[in-house]
Amino acid sequence: MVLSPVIKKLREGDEQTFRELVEQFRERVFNTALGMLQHQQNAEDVTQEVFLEVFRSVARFRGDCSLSTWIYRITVQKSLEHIRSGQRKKRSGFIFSIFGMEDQVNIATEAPFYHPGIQLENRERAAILFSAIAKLPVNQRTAFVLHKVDGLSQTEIAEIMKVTISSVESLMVRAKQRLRELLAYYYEKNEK
Amino acid sequence: MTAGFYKNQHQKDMNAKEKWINETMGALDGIRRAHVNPELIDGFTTKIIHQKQKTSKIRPAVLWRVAATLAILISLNILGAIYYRQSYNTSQETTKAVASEYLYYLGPIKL
Repeated sequence: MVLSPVIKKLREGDEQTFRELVEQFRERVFNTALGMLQHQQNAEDVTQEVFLEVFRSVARFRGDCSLSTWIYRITVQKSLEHIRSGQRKKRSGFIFSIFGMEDQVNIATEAPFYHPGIQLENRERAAILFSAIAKLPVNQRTAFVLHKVDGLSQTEIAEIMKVTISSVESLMVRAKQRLRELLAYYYEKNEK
Repeated sequence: MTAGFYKNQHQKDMNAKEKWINETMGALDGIRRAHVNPELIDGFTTKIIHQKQKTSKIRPAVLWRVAATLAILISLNILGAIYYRQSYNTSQETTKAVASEYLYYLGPIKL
């Protein structure tokens, strides 16, 4: 196993290298967290937690994947921890159904999330799509956000999620199907 | 109103719905990275580095003292255990010797 000079310097606690690493990855980490959590403050918290974890655990980094993949893994893991622990603030919003059946209507009281990187003409629709993304199972949500928000390839996503490329393809197909169902239900209730 | 009219209307509705869904699905196309507040990042980067340095300064001294204390405590415990075991064996042997001698002088017990 050959560790890159960057990793060696990080392990030695080199301050300048750590600052450069943060500079290089801060926006990627923040945008992944923002796409996953759909909450500015929580995404900033996760960004801090990710770099703290990187600094603390770089000694345990075995170099079996790229530094970028490792940092993305930590980001996804920390974001999922936030989602699972329910730290995200509940916000008021619109009624949504996952299955389209009245007895299984899932009522989400969430305010729309406006991603700052979205073009103005797509702002409202992107907010609806983000609300639908928030209803996806975590694996589908992770794959979809990494692909659509971060622009990562399926190969990169497979490495980050530690699954095969075909699994990522499958996750993406199911995510899109589910999103279409959710959007169809929303359209019937709100747009028609 | 004929069946054909309703069929056409339904088809129009479906097309509008599909169009809306497709457009919404494509709403993230061309998304740009959001910018994170650089001051926030600089602030916590400095904090993390200082925390690490502070921890690094304290750690060796505290670690050696704790290790030395633990070593002394463990040694004392082991020595104590060995001494107790030896004294226990000795006292048992002494008791047996005294008991046998005392019972010898008493003679056999008659019931």
